[in-house]
Amino acid sequence: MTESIPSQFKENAVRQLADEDLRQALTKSKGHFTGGRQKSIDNLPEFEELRDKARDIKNHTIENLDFYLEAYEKKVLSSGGHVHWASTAKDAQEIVLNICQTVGATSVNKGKSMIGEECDINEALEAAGINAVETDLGEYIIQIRNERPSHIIAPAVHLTKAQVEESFRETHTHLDPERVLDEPPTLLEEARKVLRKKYFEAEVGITGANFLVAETGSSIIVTNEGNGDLSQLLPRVHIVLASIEKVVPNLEDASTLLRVLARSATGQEFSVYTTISTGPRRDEDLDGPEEYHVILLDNGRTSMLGTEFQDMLRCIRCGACMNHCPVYQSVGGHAYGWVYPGPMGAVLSPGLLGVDEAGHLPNASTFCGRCEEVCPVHIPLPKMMRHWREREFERHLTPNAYRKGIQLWSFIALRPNLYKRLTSFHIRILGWIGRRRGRFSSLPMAKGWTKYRDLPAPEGKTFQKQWSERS
Amino acid sequence: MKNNRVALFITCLVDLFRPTVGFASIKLLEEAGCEVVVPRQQTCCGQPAYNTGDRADTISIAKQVIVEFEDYDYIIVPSGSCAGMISKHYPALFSQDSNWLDRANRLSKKTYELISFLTDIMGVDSVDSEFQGTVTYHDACSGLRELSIHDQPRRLLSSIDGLHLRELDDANVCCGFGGTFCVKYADISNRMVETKAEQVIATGADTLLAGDLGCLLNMAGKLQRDGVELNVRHVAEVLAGMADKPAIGVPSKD
Amino acid sequence: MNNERNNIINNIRKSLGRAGPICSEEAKELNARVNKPVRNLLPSRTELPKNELINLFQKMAEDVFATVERVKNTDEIPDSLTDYLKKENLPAQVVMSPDPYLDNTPWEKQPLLEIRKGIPNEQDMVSVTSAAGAVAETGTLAMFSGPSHPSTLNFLPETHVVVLPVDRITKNY
Ligand code: SF4
Repeated sequence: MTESIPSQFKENAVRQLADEDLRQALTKSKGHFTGGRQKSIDNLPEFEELRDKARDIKNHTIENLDFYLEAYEKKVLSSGGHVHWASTAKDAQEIVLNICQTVGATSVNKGKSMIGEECDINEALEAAGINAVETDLGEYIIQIRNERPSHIIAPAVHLTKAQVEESFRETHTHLDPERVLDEPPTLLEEARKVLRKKYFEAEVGITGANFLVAETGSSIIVTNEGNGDLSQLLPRVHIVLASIEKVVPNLEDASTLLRVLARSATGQEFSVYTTISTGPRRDEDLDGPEEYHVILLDNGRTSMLGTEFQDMLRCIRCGACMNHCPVYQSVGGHAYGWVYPGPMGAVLSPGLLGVDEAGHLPNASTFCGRCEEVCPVHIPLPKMMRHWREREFERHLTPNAYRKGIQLWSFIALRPNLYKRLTSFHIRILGWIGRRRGRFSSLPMAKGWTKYRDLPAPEGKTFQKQWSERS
Repeated sequence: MKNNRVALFITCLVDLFRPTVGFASIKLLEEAGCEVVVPRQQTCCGQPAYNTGDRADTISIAKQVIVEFEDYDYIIVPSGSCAGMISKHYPALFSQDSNWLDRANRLSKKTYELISFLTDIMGVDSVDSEFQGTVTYHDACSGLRELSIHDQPRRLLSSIDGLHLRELDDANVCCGFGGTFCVKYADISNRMVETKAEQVIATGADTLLAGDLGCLLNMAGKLQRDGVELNVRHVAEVLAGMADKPAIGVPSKD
Repeated sequence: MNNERNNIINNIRKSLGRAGPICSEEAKELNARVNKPVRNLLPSRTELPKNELINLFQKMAEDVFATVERVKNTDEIPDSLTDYLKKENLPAQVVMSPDPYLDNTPWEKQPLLEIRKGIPNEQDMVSVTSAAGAVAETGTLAMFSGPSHPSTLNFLPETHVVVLPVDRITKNY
């Protein structure tokens, strides 16, 4: 796999832009997501009001996060579960390994979990000699391709059908090489068969959580394949990996969030499966895990609280912002170089990794505002990207050429007479040079522009010059 | 004429690249019954600094604009993004400074983008101009999302005899301009404007219109680089009957 | 471990600008929210007479590719099930939840239907359960895990047949 890191966003982007398969795959998925969302919203007149409520629920919870986490913890314990607290990704890894080793696990089933990605759980398990099997179809595909998810809800959205087929043929060598495998249903069917076997081999199942409910001490996952659900049901031990901001006060609140989640994510009215898990199996139960562990991860989130980035903790990971982001749709998720791509990643990644490491991401936006327009919990993503830019500017992390250029422009803009003198002269020259063709195909001071576009020439004298000559 | 003394904030791009838009704006405003003044001490609204994270310079520029423009009944801007900068973002700059916050808020309330001002405040519902041809319209992002400009230009365009409007697929998707974005991330910007250009061509229109000069320069530059014969203009030029001037990036005939 | 916990909780408090836990007055309110949830805004599409509600449930379920078959009474269930299995080319072999509600069904009417009660295994193709509730708003079934309804029945077999008494259909979730 080509490792990409956030600090190399530009290089990553160039590589991704040249990838024709990616372009095809993204073009195909885009309409599906945006059109689906619009349709499901048109079907629900209350959607806007629900969005406001969803925002308020998350705000309220975040403002009282300590209280709700403690209340949640109490309920988990009283239902027979365990709660572990992890300040860093490393801590979370250790807790997971510890649990796995205690039960002598050799194989672990994984439901899709972005926190799992954030903590590199698979790598940690493999290093400890434990086999980690991704059970979500998309996650499974990228696992066998040795890649990273490129999208938070559709991890393999960057791949074409043909690429998936190729990977399946390479990996599932025990199957008939002549088999027909060119339609999504046949691919799904094959993955199910292969995975089904593995469900029964694992001693531990690891899932994420979309919500943690303080009222009941439950974790909620939403899936479309039922894979995560089996991952948590069949093995002897269930580990829930969740970040601290996933908690909500009660099931009513969770219901409101669920009403906006699936619609924003995939345009579904409701996900196929919404599973609420509370504690391990009870004595009289016939199935379910014997142990239930929750790992609550901080990993930098508490340091976003109380800052201009606090609103980001409202995120319910629906992916709508990336589905509607023209930058994401151009470069794909891998360009962002870390777990969280698109607009939400552009705000969250600098918060979790540091702006030195992920400083490109909040800059790679035109501030077109489509992400904020569709975010189900009204996160002002462009505003927060701008705040990151301000922090970079303060700390002199902005590339020097831009810094100097912008400061020079501001210097001129703050001196209207100088501005007029400079522009009336230079613009006239520029207009005069460009008057024959009406545009420039290359200009020494505008290379970034003229690499791909002509630069329309100024009409001639500036407006202000002409106006002052008239009156 | 009372209460209709409007100050034109010309915007630096129009000032430097496309004065025609300025004259078109004045014509439209005067036809709507406004008295138009062009304050002399004007340059740029501060967006480049603001979007680069240079808050200190942005604040200085905003103060300069406030001082120069606050005495008029309305401040009119032929650009959604610059109008949005003044009306939506200036107040956010002064959250710590109540005196300037007041002044920014007052200015914010009387600052409008040109086309929406004509329709929503001056009640203009048709223009007296002519145009022969098929146009398509791109909704520039700030105007659309910060100022809800969508129907207004379409309504006025539909009042022009001979003009046929054909809607653009994904008209609400960014063209890839984004101020300094288009040079900082030129490769990504190129993919975005490439996609936009394909969709514009697919409409079969002979003229592409929008309300923001930055986006127009970007799209015109791309179409021309690709050798596409299509006129690109600010919507005000067509509304003001000034489409006889050469289109953006097209040399004058003389 | 306890240390980690305290660190995180303390960091939250510090970031939120609080020295200690939430004051007891406020905690009372929050506790009430946790323990006595109030109904939130609900989609009005379910403001319908009972019969219409059943139709809505069916429509929403069919929109997401569920097959819905209405029967008049429990007597008709065994035939309906075997017809379905035949149509889908599935074996007349099901694993069923040990649910008292399903015991009231005269399965003996279909003597060829093989029924095993309990949890499913890898080979089971079809499971049969009831559902504790159903939501007309989205066409969703609600099941509670327990001795009379092991959850694996919902996920493991490829085909899941649910017997749903219409009076369990509610408006919203
Ligand atoms: S930021 Fe908003 S739109 Fe993006 S994933 Fe989070 S909740 Fe969804």
